[in-house]
Amino acid sequence: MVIDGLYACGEAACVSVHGANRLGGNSLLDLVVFGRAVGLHVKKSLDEGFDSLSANDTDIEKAMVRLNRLNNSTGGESVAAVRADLQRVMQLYFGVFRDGEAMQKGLAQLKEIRARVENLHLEDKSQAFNTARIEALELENLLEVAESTAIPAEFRKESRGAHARNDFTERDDENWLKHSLFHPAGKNVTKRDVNFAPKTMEAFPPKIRSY
Amino acid sequence: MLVSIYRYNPEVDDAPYMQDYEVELPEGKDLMVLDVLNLLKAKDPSISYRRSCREGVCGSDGMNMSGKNGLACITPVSEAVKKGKLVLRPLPGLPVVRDLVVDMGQFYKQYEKIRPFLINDAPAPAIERLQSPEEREKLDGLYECILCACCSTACPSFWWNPDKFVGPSGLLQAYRFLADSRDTATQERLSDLDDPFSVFRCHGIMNCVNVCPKGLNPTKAIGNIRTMLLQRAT
Ligand code: SF4
Ligand code: SF4
Repeated sequence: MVIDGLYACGEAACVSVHGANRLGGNSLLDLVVFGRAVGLHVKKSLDEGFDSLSANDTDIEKAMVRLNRLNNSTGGESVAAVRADLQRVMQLYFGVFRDGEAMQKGLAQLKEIRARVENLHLEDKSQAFNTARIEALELENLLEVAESTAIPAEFRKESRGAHARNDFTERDDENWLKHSLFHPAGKNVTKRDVNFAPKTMEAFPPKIRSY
Repeated sequence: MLVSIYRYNPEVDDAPYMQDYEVELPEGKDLMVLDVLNLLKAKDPSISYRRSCREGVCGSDGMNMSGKNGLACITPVSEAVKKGKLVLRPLPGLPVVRDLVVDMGQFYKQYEKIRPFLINDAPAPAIERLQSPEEREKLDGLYECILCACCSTACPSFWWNPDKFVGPSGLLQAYRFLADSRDTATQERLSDLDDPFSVFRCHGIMNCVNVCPKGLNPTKAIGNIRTMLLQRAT
C-alpha cells in the first residue's frame, strides 16, 4: 500500500541500489540521486495536493497504550541496563563475522531482552524536555531494529557483501540472489526476487566482489 | 572526578542550582565530555541534554564546559577539566528549557532572517547550476557550519541584542550566500543587513572564532559583509 505524504529516505527506504549492502560511501549515491527525486516528488505532490490518511481511534489508542505503560510504570528495569545488554548481544552475535550457532544463542537472548523491554521503568515522569522518556521509547525501537537485523541474518545461509558467515562462507546466487523481507508481526522472513529488468540502462551483471 | 552540572526543571525547581556528581573514569582512556554525561545519565536518568550523532556532525550537544562553549562529543575531558573539576552549563544567553537544554528559537529566528537558501529566479537548467572550481572554493570555511550555536552564545553582542544582532552564526551563513556565484539576490541580501544592528553590532571580539568546533571564522565573514556594505554605500 502506498501512503500518500509518507516519505522514507536513505537507509530506511532501502532502495537497494547496492543490493543489501551498506558500506561507506553508498549513502552518497542515495543522497544525490534519491534526494533530488524526493525533492521533485514532494514539490509535485504538494502542488497537486493529496489526501492524507487520518488516524482513527484504534491507532491513537495503540500509541497511547505504549506511552501510558511507561508513564504509569511504578517499577521494573532501567533503560540503561537493558540497552547495554542489547548492545552486547548485537555486538557479540550479529557483528562482522557471523555464525549460525552463535546467532541462535543471540536470538534466544533477544527474546529475554524483549521481555525486559516490556517491563521498563520510567523513573522521570516530567513533562519538561524528558529525555529519559525518549530514551525508553528509543530502546523499544532499537529492539525492533535489532530483531529485523538478527532474524534475517540467521535466515540467510550464505555470505554476501557485509554479511559474512563462518558456516556459509560462499556467496550462493542460486538460492540467495534475493531480498530478505522481514515481517515484524510474525517475526518471519520471506524472500523477494531482485528486479533485474533493464530500464534505460543495460543491467549490470552481478559478480563476486573480490578486493 | 568531580562533575558539577547545572540543573533546572521548571516543573519542580524555583531556581537553577549546581549538582555535584562523582564519576569513576576508566584508566588510560581520555573520554569525551558526552561520554561522561552518558555515564551519569545511566545512574541519574533525570539529567537532560541534547545529543545525537556523537561525532561533531549534528551540532546538538553544544554546551558550556568549564567556561568555554563547545560540543561535548568531541571535547576530551582532559581539555575541559579545570582544577580537577568539570563544570557543565547550558549555552549562555538563551532561555533554559531544562538542565543543559536551551531554547534555540531566538538563534533559529536570526538564521531564518538571512534566508539561508539559494535565490536565483532564472529558470533552472536541465541538470544543475554550474560553478567553476574557483567559485566553489569561495564557499569553503562557510558551508561547513553545523548551527550548533556555540559561537552566537559566546558573543556578548548577541547576549545583549539577540533579537536585532544576527550573530556570528547567522552572519557566517549570510556571507555563504553572498559569496555564492549562483545566488542573484546579493543586493537584497545586503539591504536586509544594512542597519545599525544586524551586522554592525559586531565589535570584533573574536569569541566566536575561539569556540567554533568546526574551526570556522565568523569574524572574517562578518568583515567581508562589512566591506560589501561599505563599498555599496560609496
Ligand atoms: S567577533 Fe563579532 S560576532 Fe564574533 S564574538 Fe565578537 S562581537 Fe560576536
Ligand atoms: S560557525 Fe561554528 S560555532 Fe557557529 S554555529 Fe557554525 S559551527 Fe557552530
